[in-house]
Amino acid sequence: MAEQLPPVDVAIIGGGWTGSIIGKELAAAGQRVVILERGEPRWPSPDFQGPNVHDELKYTRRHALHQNAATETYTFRNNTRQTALPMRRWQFAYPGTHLGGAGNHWSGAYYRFHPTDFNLRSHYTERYGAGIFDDDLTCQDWPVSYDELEPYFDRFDYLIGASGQAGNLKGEQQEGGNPFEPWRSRPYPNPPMKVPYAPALFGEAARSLGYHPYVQPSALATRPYVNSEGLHMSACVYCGFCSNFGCEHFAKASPQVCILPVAMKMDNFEIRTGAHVLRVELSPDKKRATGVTYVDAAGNERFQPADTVVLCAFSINNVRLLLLSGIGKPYDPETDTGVVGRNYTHQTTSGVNLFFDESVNINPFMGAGAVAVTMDDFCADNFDHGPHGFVGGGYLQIQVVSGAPIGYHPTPKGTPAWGPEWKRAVRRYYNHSASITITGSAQPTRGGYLSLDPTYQDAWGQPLLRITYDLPDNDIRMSAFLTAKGDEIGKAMKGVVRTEPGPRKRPFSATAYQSTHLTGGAAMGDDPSTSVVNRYGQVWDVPNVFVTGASLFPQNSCFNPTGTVGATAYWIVDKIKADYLRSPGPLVST
Amino acid sequence: MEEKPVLSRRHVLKALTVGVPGAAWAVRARGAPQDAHREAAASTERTLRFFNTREAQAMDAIAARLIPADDLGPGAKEAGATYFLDGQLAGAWGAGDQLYRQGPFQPGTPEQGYQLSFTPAEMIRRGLAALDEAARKRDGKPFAELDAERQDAWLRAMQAGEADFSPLPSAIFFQALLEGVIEGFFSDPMYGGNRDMAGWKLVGFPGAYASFSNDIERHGVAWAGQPVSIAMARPHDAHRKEDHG
Amino acid sequence: MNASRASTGTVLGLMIVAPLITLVATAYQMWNTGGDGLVRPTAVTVPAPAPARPAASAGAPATPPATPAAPGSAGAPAAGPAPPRPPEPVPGRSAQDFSAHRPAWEAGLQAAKAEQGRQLAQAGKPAAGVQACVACHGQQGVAQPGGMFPSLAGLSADYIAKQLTDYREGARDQALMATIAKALSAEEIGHLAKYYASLPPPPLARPAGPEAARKLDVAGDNARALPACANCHGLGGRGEGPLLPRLAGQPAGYFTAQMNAFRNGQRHNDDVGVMRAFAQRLTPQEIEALAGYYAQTGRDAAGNSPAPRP
Repeated sequence: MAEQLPPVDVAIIGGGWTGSIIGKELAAAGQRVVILERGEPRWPSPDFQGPNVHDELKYTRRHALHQNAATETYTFRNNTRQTALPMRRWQFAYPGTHLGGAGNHWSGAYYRFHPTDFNLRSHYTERYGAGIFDDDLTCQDWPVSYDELEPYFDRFDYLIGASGQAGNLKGEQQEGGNPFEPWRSRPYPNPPMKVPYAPALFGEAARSLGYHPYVQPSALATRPYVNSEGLHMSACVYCGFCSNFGCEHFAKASPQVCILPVAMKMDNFEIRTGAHVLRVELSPDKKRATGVTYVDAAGNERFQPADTVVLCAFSINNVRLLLLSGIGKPYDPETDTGVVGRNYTHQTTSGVNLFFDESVNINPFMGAGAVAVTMDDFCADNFDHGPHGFVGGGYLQIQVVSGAPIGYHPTPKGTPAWGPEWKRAVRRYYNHSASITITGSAQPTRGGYLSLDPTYQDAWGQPLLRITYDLPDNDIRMSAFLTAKGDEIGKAMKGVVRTEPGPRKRPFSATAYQSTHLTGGAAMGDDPSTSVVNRYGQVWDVPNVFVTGASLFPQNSCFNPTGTVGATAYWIVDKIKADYLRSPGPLVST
Repeated sequence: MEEKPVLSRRHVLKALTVGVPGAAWAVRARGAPQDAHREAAASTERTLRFFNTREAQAMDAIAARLIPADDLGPGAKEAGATYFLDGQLAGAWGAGDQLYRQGPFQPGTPEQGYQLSFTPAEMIRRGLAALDEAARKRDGKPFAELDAERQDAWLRAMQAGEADFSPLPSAIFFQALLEGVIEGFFSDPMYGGNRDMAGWKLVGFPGAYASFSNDIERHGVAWAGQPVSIAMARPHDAHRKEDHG
Repeated sequence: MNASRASTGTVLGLMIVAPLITLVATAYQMWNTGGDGLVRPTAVTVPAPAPARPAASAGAPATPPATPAAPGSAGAPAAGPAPPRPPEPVPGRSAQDFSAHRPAWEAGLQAAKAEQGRQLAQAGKPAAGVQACVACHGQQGVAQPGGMFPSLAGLSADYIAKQLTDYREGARDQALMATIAKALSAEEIGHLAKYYASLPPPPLARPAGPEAARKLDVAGDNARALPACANCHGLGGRGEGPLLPRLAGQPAGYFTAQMNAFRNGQRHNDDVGVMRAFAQRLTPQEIEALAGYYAQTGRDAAGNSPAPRP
């Protein structure tokens, strides 16, 4: 029998980006807030200081900041004809754990979704005709527009100290920025990242082919910065221990760098760590949440009553919580009914491996999670899709993230996997290779969805989340197109002696890392029959429950999700403060 | 301390040396032989926590073939890959941390990844035993005592899944060995492998040193310094000698 | 239905006694913080230029002491940090600029010869009014421990070349060094840099304290977003990359002068202003403590090396 705790106004599940933003804002508005974080506290000092943090084995290979698959993983299958089996160890993605969540170990690549990402279905239909959508695609419009969200993108920019150069200020194109950039109301708070050699070569080659490369925006501060909360960040030093690591320099934006210290000064704000949430509890009529049941670190079950519950866990973990709590109707692909779990996607990535002449020193260890020269010429609807017959697109870039050699020791195809030739090839190519990263949008299909697994459980005896997913033909065609473009650029780069394009193929495999951008399952929409939450992230069926994060995406853009995750968090909490707290109840009538 | 510029078609590139003070940084000219190879099998000299002597010998022999010593420098055996793996298998990861081990266990598609019940420790132990038994049966000797050609043949057979180590698929065992040896070759020396930073020196990875803000835009500059390990970076003693092993 | 505020005391009492794993709200020492409860969505703090240096503790924001169980706040000094200077634009950085940055000081190092550097260091260039380096920096590049001049022995050639070039170009302000550097050619700067880089640094002791300095060196301070000095300068200040100089063994007077110069912006040749930003968040007492911490060498005041520490 769970011990009942004194009630709070707001119970937030998850101490990552959205939980920290929403928790801080609501506490500042006078609400009594508790964040339930399953992991442990982690702070830049002392937890991530050098030299110990520069440990590839610990952080990348042994998952020090990743969800522990031993206690909770996902099951996976490509389609409903297969039996889903557990991902017994992480390969395809790295859900985070501990304070800050994935927002602590992320790479910091920082974008806004494009305006046409928000009205994807209607935009493409208008321009190209409905036939451009394959029958199996379940793409749909968001219920909000880029223009509505722009002030919130701006707010998140200045919270995290985004680094970049504006390409479009209030509709006016700006020299030196990305010509495809959607309008923004203010410049980036910090100047763009430095440019290492391989991205510079990529930029030159792309430019020579008539494309519009630019320095990728990032959430890694490029100079000392005081953010909108008055917290300090320092400049990225391009240490090459970024993705999967905590940042020792207070340079990579994270909840604990950018917002939590301010929140924690408030008496009415509390973070409870070691709190593993089991479910949201509902009233007997299932129309109201009464609070949250969780297990503390000693194994005791507790019930935290709350007036409002906000799901701020990792994207698909939010969906699992909805399913475990009986909130909303689970999606069934056979009958195409229900909504929770619908429209799940990943990120359709591919690449072109490049090998250079020995005279070209790439220095892959000088890097960071988001140091890249990129181009948007094939993103969103920036190009004519007519001849190609797919929707979506992707960016092409060279990023220099890490040279840590357990994971990075590229060799050309055909090199043996071991032995003297392997060793020789590793030596030859370690400092003379790079790869063009291609990050494409991911379209949802009827067969791509999330549900509870009927067989496998986590360490708390609850069903694991089951991922049923394969890449739609649309994305395969897109990936082939983008990868060919990447190969073209690679061949035009100075010093390149060999290119190896690798377009994404079916079936989708859970054994290859393809970003941690798992999105959807709790889609935001105008229509309760195709969405779980309304335009304010409020669950249609249970109006005192809100959902945040990439769970809300009806499909995934080519652009990295965190910018949009942060913006929607501010958008949601603003509405809660302005209207919901005054008058709790459905914010959108159906 | 002589610094040789690295010539290219386009630039005379200035070798960039790591400024760890006081050490005499010998420039590693490209292709120059490394130091004389260290004596073999420190693993039998060090205290083992997981492997027995036979397993350690087999592991040494495997490491020596997967990443051999040659003119480019020490191989995985000299680098202590066996000792690294010994520590890993004796610890939490070896016992199954980070591995979902609830049943039922059923074979899956290649896309569904590893579906066996073996922890890393169980797999390596079982696999090494199976390998030695198979080698004894076919070649009359345990793996470690075979000549290099036979050893390579066994490794290739395992890699292709052709050796029968049922119920452990040999290809999966081989992959675990290869990953373990690579980790043992390239991880920070504090874990017991990458001795003298042999792995890092092979590729030119600076190690735990990590601040390139001033160097990242010096495009193409050659990094010719000595790597730094986490233990080295700690102030264990005051000396600035060359002995940074 | 809001929780009754009238029973806050009871609620808090219950919460305190409940056996929870709790991360307790911690007071973080923050200047210009958002703790007034108002959300300022566009509040990018553009600080006013630093006024004339006030006394260190004048106007220090009163900060409540930390409640336990979180890093960085127990015993945090009530600092009087100077208001930071406005961020300076990074020159030449547009998002379409992919150019390499080959710094000017690299040129002189190409054909540098340590022996020529040695001669220059010993003799100076009297005709050009350049006194011998050894006069201030010591015969073997190791300066007087109690003095104001830095030891140059064993610093990286890149670092020395950059500093001399900065003095020459005015990126680093110091009247005496500026005069000297302006009288040197790029090649001579290279020779000197190579020479001094080749000299053995003073033997370094493992710094014993003070504790406040040691903590900043190895762990930084979470409350003020200060990374450990060692992250860039190496543990014990041993020095890391070519442009991250050794601090260990530098006279305390020199260290203090440089940190104060960073703190008030007078020294501004640090990459994108990181040293200036850090120095502004350190108190004068901490700077002094760090100076003493790093200055500890293996030599006593008379210049004798004691027996090596066990």
